[in-house]
Formats: sequence, C-alpha cells, structure tokens
Amino acid sequence: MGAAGRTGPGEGERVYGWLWRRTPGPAPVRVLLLALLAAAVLAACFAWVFPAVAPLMPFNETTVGG
Amino acid sequence: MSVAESDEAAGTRGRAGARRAGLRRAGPAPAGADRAGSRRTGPRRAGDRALALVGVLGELLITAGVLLLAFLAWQLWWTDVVGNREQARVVESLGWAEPLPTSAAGPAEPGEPAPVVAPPRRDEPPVPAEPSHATTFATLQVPRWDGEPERPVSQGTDRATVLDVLGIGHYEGTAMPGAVGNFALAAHRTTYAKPFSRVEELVEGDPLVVRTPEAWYVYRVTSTRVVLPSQVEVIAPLPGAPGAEPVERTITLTTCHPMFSARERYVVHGVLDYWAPVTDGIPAELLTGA
Repeated sequence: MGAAGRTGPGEGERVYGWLWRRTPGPAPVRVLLLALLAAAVLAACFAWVFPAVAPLMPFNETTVGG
Repeated sequence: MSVAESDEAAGTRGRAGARRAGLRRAGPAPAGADRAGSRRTGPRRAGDRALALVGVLGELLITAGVLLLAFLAWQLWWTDVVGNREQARVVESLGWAEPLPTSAAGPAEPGEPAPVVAPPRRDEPPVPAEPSHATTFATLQVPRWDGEPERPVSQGTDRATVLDVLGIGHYEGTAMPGAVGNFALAAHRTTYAKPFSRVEELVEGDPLVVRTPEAWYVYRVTSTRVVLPSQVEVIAPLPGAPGAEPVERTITLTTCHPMFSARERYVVHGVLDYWAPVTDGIPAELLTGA
C-alpha cells in the first residue's frame, strides 16, 4: 500500500491528530473530552497565564515617571 | 487509515520508514529490503518529513493565534468584568453608601426622601492623613461621565496591587484631598475596568467630586494636556513647576494616551472649588449632573 503517499500532510503524527488518537472512547466522547480540555486550558490561561504575561505588554502604563 | 497501518507499512519499507516508526515500534527490517527501500523512497520520505514538520508548525501557529485572540479577549473584556465587580465591591465595603441626611424637616413624601444639597464651604477643608499602601481612602465621581460608577481611590500607583485591582491610585507623597498642593491620581484608560476611559470628554469647569468618610471635595477641571511619560512635573505640588511652593488645592488625573498605547500620558488638572461635610448633604453637582 502506498503509505508514503498517504501519510502526507493529512495524516502524519501531528499535534492535534496525536491528541485525537490518544483520546479514548467513541467520537462523540472524544469531542466532549477535547472540548473540556480546551476549556480547561483557556481557564488556566485566564486565571494564571494571562495575568502573568500582561505586565510585560507594552501598553497600559498610566503613570508619569514610573 | 490508522496509525497502526501506517507504521506497519513503514516498518517493512526500509530504514527511513523504520526510523520514523521505530520511535514507538522498533521493528527490525530485513537488510536487503532495507537498502532497496531506502534507495527507492529515501528522497520521498525526506519530503514527507519536511511536510509533516510544516504541518506541525502550522498547527502550532494556529494554536498561537487562538491563544493571542484569547489573550485579547481577556485583556479587553475580562479584566473589565473582574475590575468592575471588584471595584463595586470595594466601594460597597467602604460602608459610606447611605449616611446622607434627608430633609431636616423630615421627608415630605414618605419613602421619597429628598436629598439635601450640601451648602458649599470655602473655608479650610479637613485633610485626611496619607494612608498605608493599597488602602482605599476616597472615591471619585465625575458627573460628565454619566453612567460610570463611583470609583474607589486607593493609595499607591503600582499596577499589581492598586491600578489593576483597585481602580484609581493616588501618587504616594502627593497631597491628600483638600490639601494645598496637588492631589494626583492615576488610573487605566483601557482595560482593568478603565476608570479613566472617558477622560477626553472632560472640559474646563467640569466637576470632579471626591469623597472621603468625612467630606466632599468638589474640584473643577482647569486644563487638559498630553505629555510624555517622563514629565513628572505634572504631579508636582504646583503642577508644571517642581520645587515651587504650592498655593492652590489642585487635583491631577493621569492616564495613558493614546488609548491602548503607553507612548504619552493624558493629564487633567483641576482646582478645588468647595468642600462640604458629608453630614450636610450631597453636592449639587451629583444631583443635577455636569
């Protein structure tokens, strides 16, 4: 079988393909699990990552002399 | 096609394939098939690997783009949600909400007490002592910014402990409300509940109403200007003249300019019009608007 041709850009060992294959269960369950995972990542970003990164951004300075 | 299929196919087809699949399945391939396979498919496998790499890179870039959008949503929307909630809670917890007297003769209509207008006083106002860092000691209301809530004013101007969480900050060491000198404040103009977002609407004569536990201080805008972040003379006791002896009771607001930029600062100067004890009523400016 023409594996070389078919494992091209569409089905290689990529990030989201890897995630999808590692997720257990039938497709609807996988979709749900991955949605939960995405929500958790977003929540972690809102709670910790973005507040930590925000002071490094080059805007929002309001004081003089600071 | 599944991974297992792909790996099996690769495993029988030479070194390149075996190396690729062998990350998880070290399937030894026959030596003869190995040489033949690599001669036939070597360049092609290299091209596949490059394509796969591009694919991974693409997925990572898409992820980065989504995270950047999420950061924008957080910065431009969520910090306002959290900030407004937190600042409303701070104002609420001051417990100053209802010490206002109603008409001394008793309300004309039961349940509809008419607020008393505090008579302006222009004698020596009380001046509170400078509190410790991050302590909320006053509030600011600006009738021109119709619809904006009463904002807490807290000691200090660093972002982590004051400006990002408590709203308006008071430059440490500058005058307190009512004092001769310059009562200098800073706040965000965008994000973090953006207390000064409408600063550009202010015109000369607009009231800035500061409240402490004891008194109202009604300042009036005298001028607005745009300066560089290094121009600290705007918060000098006599604004614009550092080292000079102040004679007036002034207020100064600083915030960023242009919006979403840290290039310059928007500055509003004002001077005390009058003060009134909170027990005398509330300033007419808050009843009638600007």
